Amino acid sequence: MGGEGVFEPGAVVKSTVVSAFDAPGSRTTSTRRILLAGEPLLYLQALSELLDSIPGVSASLVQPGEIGHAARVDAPALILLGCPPTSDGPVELSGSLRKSYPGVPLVLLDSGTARDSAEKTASLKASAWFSTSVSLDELVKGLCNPTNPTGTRTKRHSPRPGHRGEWPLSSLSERELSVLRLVVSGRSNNEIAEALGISRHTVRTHLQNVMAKILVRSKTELVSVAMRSGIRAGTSPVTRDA
Amino acid sequence: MEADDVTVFLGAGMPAELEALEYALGRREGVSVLGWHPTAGGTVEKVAAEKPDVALVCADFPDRDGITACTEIKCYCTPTRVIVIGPSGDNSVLISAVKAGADGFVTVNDSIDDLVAAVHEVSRGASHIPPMMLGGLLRGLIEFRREDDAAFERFASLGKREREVLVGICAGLGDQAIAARLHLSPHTARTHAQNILGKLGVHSRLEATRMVLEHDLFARFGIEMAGLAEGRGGGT
Repeated sequence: MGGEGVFEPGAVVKSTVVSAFDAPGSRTTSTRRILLAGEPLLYLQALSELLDSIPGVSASLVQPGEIGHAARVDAPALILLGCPPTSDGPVELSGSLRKSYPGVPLVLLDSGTARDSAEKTASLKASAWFSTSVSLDELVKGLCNPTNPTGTRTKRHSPRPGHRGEWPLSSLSERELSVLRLVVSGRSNNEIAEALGISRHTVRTHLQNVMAKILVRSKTELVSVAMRSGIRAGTSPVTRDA
Repeated sequence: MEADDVTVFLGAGMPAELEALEYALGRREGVSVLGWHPTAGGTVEKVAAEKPDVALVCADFPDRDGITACTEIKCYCTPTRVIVIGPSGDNSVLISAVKAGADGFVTVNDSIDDLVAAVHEVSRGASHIPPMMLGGLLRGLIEFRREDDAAFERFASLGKREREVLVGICAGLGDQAIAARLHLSPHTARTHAQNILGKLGVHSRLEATRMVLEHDLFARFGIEMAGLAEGRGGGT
């Protein structure tokens, strides 16, 4: 245990939640319920277990089919909806959640790669969205005050985690990476344009920017560098399941 | 931590997700989480230092380089078993994971208990692939193998000079630069290039590069890749 980059989630998170929930005016006697729904199940289940371990908080994960039946007697204080950019399932879920729990703040949790989170939040009339690129502590702090998740928004503009500093493609945007993946899979500019629903001029501009960023002069060199950097051929992550 | 617990390190994912997984796994019997790191590089370093029984790496989005981490862990920390957490219903990630040497694969829509079961299985030396994805995996691997054999045969048909020109092509060099390097006329370089494309059965230099890299053809034919890095001017 210990060492940099290795954190103990329990202590910090619990104190944050408890103090936030015990703010003046709140009813300290009752348990605050947090309902989790959506995808991906694995991470949401883990998060639900962690939140549930906090004294004074009860968290549970509901399956889409259970939402109508989930006890309306005890409305949750907050609904956390996992909303990965590759799936539209949670978007549909939000409708039935709203119907079953009118007035309960809905908070979106996305996996940190979608740029359209803010848009999605607005279209679903959610209270806020969070990226999982923040630490759990920040996430929980935000959850306690879901109408003001400013920490999350500013956080998203800082360098993205998940890459080594020397990874040559770390300076690329998500869209540029999607284009690059399609190039690596052998598609022409026109085919890429079609796959991503953008004009071929935009594709060309993206590619020019990518080539300028990683200092290559030809598309062949680009593919060469990309493949040796571990880029895998593939369809666009954003449009694949749309 | 119990002495016979399976030790686990988590990596290459989003901090909040890894932290939550650390908690959820830590409260299960028989599993001890040594720590987590959000980046692939950091994960490989930590795994090399702490030598867990199992490393769990995330690859549920294309730019989470869990596959890279998997390759490196299998290379540098051979006793550690690796499970890749990837998307369900996308065989390409599963296939990449298996090619990278992963011992197990769990999808993000599985439950924590599925994950724990997978950890125990791979720590005993077994493999763990979701049964629903096994058919797609096998088809994908057979398809890759077929392409691989074809690529190998085609490459084998290239002459010595053609292979040298191909190294230049894969480095992104133009005819002029290739010619200068190999002491040829640019016209000859161009002719070689045309013949290479014909023999490899591809339509462009880009496709040729992709084929060579995807099937690791230079290494398999004992051709030095150093020329590639050298040809990449301006990149630091």
